[in-house]
Amino acid sequence: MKWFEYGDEKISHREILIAIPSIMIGVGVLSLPRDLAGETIGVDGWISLLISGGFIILITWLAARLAIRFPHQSFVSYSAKLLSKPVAVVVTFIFIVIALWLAALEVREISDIAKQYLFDRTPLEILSLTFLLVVIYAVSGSRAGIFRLNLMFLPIIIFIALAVIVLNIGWFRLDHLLPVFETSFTGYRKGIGSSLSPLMGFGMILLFYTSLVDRPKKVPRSAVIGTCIPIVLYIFLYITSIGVFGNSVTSNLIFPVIELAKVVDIPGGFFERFESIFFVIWIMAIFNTTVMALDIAVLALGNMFKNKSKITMVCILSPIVYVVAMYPEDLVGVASMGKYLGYVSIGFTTFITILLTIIAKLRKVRQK
Amino acid sequence: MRRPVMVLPLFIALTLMLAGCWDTTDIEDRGFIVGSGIDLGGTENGGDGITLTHQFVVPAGIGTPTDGGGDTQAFDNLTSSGESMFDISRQMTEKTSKNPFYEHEKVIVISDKVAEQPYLFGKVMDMFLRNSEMRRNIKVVIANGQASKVLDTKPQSEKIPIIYLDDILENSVANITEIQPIVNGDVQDKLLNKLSYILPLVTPKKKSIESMGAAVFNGYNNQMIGVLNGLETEGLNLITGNGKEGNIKIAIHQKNIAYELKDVKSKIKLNVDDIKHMHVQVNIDTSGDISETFGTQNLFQGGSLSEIEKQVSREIKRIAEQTINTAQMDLKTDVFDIGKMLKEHHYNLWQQIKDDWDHGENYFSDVTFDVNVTSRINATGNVNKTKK
Repeated sequence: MKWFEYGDEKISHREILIAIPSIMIGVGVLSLPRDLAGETIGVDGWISLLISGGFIILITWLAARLAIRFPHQSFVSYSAKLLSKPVAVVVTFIFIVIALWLAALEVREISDIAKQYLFDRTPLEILSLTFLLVVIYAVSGSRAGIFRLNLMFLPIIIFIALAVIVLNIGWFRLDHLLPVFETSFTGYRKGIGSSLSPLMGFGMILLFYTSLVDRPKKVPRSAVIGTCIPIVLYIFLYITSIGVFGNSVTSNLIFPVIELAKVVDIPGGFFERFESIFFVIWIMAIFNTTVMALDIAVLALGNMFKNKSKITMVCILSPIVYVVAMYPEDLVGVASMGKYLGYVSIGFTTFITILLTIIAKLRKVRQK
Repeated sequence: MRRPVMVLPLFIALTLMLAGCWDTTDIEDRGFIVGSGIDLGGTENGGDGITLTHQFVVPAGIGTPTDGGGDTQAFDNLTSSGESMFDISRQMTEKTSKNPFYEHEKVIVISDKVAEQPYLFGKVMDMFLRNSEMRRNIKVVIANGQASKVLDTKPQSEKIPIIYLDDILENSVANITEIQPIVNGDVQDKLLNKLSYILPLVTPKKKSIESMGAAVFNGYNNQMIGVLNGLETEGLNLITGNGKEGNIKIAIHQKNIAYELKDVKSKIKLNVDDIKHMHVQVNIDTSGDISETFGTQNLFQGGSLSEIEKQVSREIKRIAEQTINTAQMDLKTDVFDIGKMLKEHHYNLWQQIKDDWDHGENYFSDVTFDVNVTSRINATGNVNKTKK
């Protein structure tokens, strides 16, 4: 068997623009309106979402600036220059753990959702394994292929998300949005906390994939634009969810965005089960997220152990993903796994980005 | 990679994947449920509990448009009773050869006896919201009497009673003596919000189902506490501006005139200076046609039309005030969603009074209402006079 080879393994800054929303849009948004509505009053949650979005954009920009200081260098090599070799290895290792953890979370969540809405009797283990096998297949191939898949899927994903919003206009009631600006400061703060984790994953793309970009100069601008896509989409989905269900119902639905898709009913029996299409396409979104998370782990590991083949690393890492995905016993376990991953991922990415930026500024390390 | 030792486990794994769908159910084995009725009390073993009736579609009875479906009944009602809804659903699967399938559920009919029990309404609705096969647009109605009777009516125009009921509710949107249909997704909103609400009321007749009036629920314990009859519902719809079409009968010189409502607009203004004696200003603006006169008036004679307009306004005001009176004095429940308006526009005030709004201290009963009505006549029909 011979792998099909694409022309080159280089990517452009435009592919970074596509990759960032592709990894950010995953399972998090499906339950995001619930957490946000639970903490805030009326439709006020959009303010929390905007603030956390602004914070993420800032970190994205910093991470992109940091990565392009060292063009065509892997994260482990430039962080070794800034932090010394052993520390750099530890930091990279933590990023690998986060990436695997993210992949495992996506696998588990999509299996849970598929079991709840689509396959009542199929065991969770089989659903996860099937999904993971497809992910492994994608990761084993060419990295450029993953970026081309992103480019192909993202417009479809954005289209279906917009369709969910537009087709719900008929059920949208403005009085559900009231009252406005009644949330307390604590409410906003908690809302920011819960709206951060669906936005995770952005930094890893920049820190690890920027080394593959052929002309890195434009990366920061593309990265910021890419980050804006999910933020704007999430705000619209949140407002639609509140407008259709009202605050108290939204905060009591497990997956408000899936319920939005289920509400869509084009009259005349013409198109009754819109959610079936929504599921198919959202599984594509989650597929992209999982593939990239696993691929980042493979890439980071590859940077540390240069003599091992890619397939070997995929074979080592994917069973770990499967075991971690199967670890939580119930939905509560999965939810807390997602919550901690959100905190660790965002916190660690932010910390490392700021730390490396400061050290790079102080020591004026710059290599052309 | 041409080593058979490596390929073999892969083949075995792939064969397992291809073994087929775990969740397959043939369409012939699905029991399509279109409606459910919930009554109080066990029918077979006696005792407390609830009785659930599911209406299944029998495809053989529907037939094709040309052959008319023959003599088979197009629906099948199955009844089971027990302590919890899930318990009953389980029993139901024992009785039917088909796998109950809820994706096409259209209407849930709940008997007024069930709704009158404290907290029971919320409990029975839980299954219809929690089950992932359920959609959020199943209409919910309260039956005046037994819910199973509603499922047993034999309408002439439709083969399946629930489809008939669904159409009636769908057509009610414009009718002023009925309230707009409410779906189970909205019911969840109402159950969560502790605000009082109304649900459509249906009365089973032998060959038809009459949809008129509304069941009034107190949001505090989600218990049905009374009904609004057709006229009171008309008053409610006039105040909230929800219904559009209906007719108002007035008499001028002992001769009846029917004023057909074509459009109703209403504005409710709140004055919240004094919490204990709030003032609500209701401005109703209607326009309509004269659809029938029993007299011999010349409608174009000077002052005649404005005289009718004045009479219509007075009549509408009377109907509205009667509803306000029933709501404040008899039911002591806010059916006009004034509490919701307070929550939306005066949130801090609402936080102070929400426990005493139409419960406890009952501030709602002390609200003073002021109803203003203006009516316009758009058309007088095709003729001026029919007879001399």
